[in-house]
Amino acid sequence: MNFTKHNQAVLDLDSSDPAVRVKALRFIKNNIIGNKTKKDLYIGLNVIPKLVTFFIETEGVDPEVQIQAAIVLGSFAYGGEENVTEIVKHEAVKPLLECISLKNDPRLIEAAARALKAIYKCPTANKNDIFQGYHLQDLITLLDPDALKPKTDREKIASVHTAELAATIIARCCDTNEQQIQIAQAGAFPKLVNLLTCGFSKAQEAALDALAYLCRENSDFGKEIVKTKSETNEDPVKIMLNLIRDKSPTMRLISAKCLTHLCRAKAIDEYLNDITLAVLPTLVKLLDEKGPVREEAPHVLAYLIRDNEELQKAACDSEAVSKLAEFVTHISDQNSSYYDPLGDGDKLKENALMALAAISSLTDEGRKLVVDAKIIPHIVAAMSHRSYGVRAAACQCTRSLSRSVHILRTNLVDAGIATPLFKLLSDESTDVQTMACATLCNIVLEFSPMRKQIMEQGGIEKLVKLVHSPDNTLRLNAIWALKNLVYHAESEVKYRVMEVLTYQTMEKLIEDPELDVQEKALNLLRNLACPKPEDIEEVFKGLTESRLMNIIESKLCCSWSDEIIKQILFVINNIATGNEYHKKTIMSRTNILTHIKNYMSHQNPDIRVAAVWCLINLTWMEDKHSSSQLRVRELRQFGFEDIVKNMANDENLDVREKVKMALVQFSQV
Amino acid sequence: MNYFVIEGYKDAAEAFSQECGLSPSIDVDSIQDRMNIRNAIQNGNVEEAIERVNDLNPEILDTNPKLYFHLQQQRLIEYIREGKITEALEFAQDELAPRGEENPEFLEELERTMALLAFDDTSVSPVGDLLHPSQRQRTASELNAAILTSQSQEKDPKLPSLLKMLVWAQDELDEKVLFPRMKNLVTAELSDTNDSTTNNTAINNSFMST
Repeated sequence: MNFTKHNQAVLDLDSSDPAVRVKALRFIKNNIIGNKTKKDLYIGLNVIPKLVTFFIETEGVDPEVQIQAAIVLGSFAYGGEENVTEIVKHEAVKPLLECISLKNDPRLIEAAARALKAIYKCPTANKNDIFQGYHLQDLITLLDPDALKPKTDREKIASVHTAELAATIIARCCDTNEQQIQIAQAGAFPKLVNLLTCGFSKAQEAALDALAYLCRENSDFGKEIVKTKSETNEDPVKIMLNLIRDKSPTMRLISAKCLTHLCRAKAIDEYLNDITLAVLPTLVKLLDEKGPVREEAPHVLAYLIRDNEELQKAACDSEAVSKLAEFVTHISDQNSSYYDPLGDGDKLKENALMALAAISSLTDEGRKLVVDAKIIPHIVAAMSHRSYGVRAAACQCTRSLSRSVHILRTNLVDAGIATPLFKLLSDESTDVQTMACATLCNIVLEFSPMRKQIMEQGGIEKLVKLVHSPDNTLRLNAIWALKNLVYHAESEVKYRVMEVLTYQTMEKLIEDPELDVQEKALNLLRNLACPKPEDIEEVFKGLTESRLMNIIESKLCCSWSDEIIKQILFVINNIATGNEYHKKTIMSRTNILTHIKNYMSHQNPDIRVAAVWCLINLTWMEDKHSSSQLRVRELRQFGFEDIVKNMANDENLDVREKVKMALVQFSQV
Repeated sequence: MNYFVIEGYKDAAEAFSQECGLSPSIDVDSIQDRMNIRNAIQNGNVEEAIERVNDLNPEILDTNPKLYFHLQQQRLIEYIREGKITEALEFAQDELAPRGEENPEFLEELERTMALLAFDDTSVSPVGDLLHPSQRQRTASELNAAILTSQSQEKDPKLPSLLKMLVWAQDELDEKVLFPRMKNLVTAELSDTNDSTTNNTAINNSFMST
């Protein structure tokens, strides 16, 4: 019986009588709002394309029909990602964007903006349409509540609400720098700053959110926002610093977020005190809230203190670690759902772990607090959590902790972190694999007791497999872990690694399109070719002498990356520490010697140091062997001695010291 | 005034503003909207309330699953109150069961509501409170608060918390000093004291010491 009722409503949409259509639309609307089952039912009855036609055949369509249709579309979009995909598939976005033009009925504008907000809430929704034609301009216009010329108070509430919707849409459409630029150029800043003073908290929150995303990782825009005064001549940063003391936790969170983004964008350096004394404590306090606020606060906190030792120390002095540890320990892992009134437990756990990772990333103080909070077993458990975000965050946390050699050798071993971490190398999510690889970089270092375990479990085979990944970061982290694995390793380990990786693959990685990958591959080569002559011999055999020299020559002459030049100079260095034959190989290549000579006047002191090191190793005399004396003479003839003499007054201390060593070598012959 | 506006007492708000010469902070029209919705629920007409709130702002019930569930639960209660058992069962099955599947917390409340059907005489039922007018009022207040939040307005009137603070402050003072205690909160009548001067001094002292 129920189904005929709904079928009838769908049929009524085709009626030529607008009143019948409106009635059917209202019926559908009141059925689907708040009700996922009914949304699915109507989408199954193919209602969306019918709704879209109401916007296309503009001739003679009752405005009320369009308003109700826009509301119904918006309600569908609230049902989640699949519904948004359906709406986008039926090309409903463009007609809705047409509706937000000022020439339309304000109620239609509001309904369409609401639908667009719900659609753009979905991260996979394509945002290009908004940047076509005059839509962006329409949207910016709506940020001014007076643009709709409200007369009654009821209309005023509606127009502020429309401004709030417009600001929310903008906040959701600045994923890229290009989008930020377009929105800024359309004049968003002054209108958003004005909206901050409108006195309606929801609209203020939306404006703060939009400003936060417009200056995210964008220093220029951060500075521009700071300079933009409101019509009442108020300073936006001052407004925000007031709003972080607001009664509403949501308002406090979003203002703290906006100030965090401005701080990260280096736009408010002079407000450092307020950041440490107001923004950071506010975020820590918000951890005591409930629902979405509590869920997002650790995320903002993590972003605020990332890469900043001072703020990490300040966070250590607060109660952040104990509160965050509480979330990691006590949030139940029962199936949470979209409708979970307490918010998403998984997301909270993920964000809490990320915040703990940030607090412990640069200071031992932070690491100690995390260890003392006794959450390492929970971090290990989180590595096999059902949510990939939690698994990745657990890796990140482990990575921060493993930066302390002490913790790496004690607490992390005791917790048995190696096996679950190793499993994550085969995770279904690339993000998790990437993070696991990055963490493994520390775990496989020579002083780590877990390195053997990882190798026994097939770690080399696994990492080699990942080295072939099409994902740039994953490939980078995999080669990174391998080069750490052979660093200071016994010849046996090196042999095992190269047996699986093969020299061919290493050569391919040295020519990788990603410069970072090239650098790590050269670093691997450098680590292989030391410290014993046998290790160097192995590389000569593996690559063949001529190919090894070709690699060196080509990288020496045609690299624009300082890091790559450094690595290749250290490869030469390591070969130069080898036996007579190895040294001779280098000496016989005048091309290489010329490059070394040139790099001695490179502007980067690290490169100068590396180049002088080459000279020291080539002139090194252990047994006053005649051949080494010969080499010194040859190098002198090549002009090296004069060059290093000129470098005696180098501005860099490290360079001066190496130069001294080299000069001593020359003076002995 | 703040209390009248927030709780949706439009006539009282209008009368009060006339008598005191205060202008209400927001338009009385919007109080009317909320009052209509409140009345609909208090008269047992939940469907009408849902339609009205959807007209006012369709986002409210789409983003507030708990509130939506409580409204549907209220509808079920009204069916049971009217003795429409078949409709009640059908409604519970079609509308409420899926919500319960989505959230275990809702399931528990649903089970409690369904228990109403087990008793012929609801006055002896352990879940009889659901049929009490206070249940309607609770649902109506929850909806009212959600509408206010969506309009960026205070959702809790200041008066109740001010009164609570007054009672608390008087209790605290009782332990320390003699003072003209407000005997009757409705008439604001103060207790008679034999020596009001001493009491005033006492208050002054106590303020100075804090």
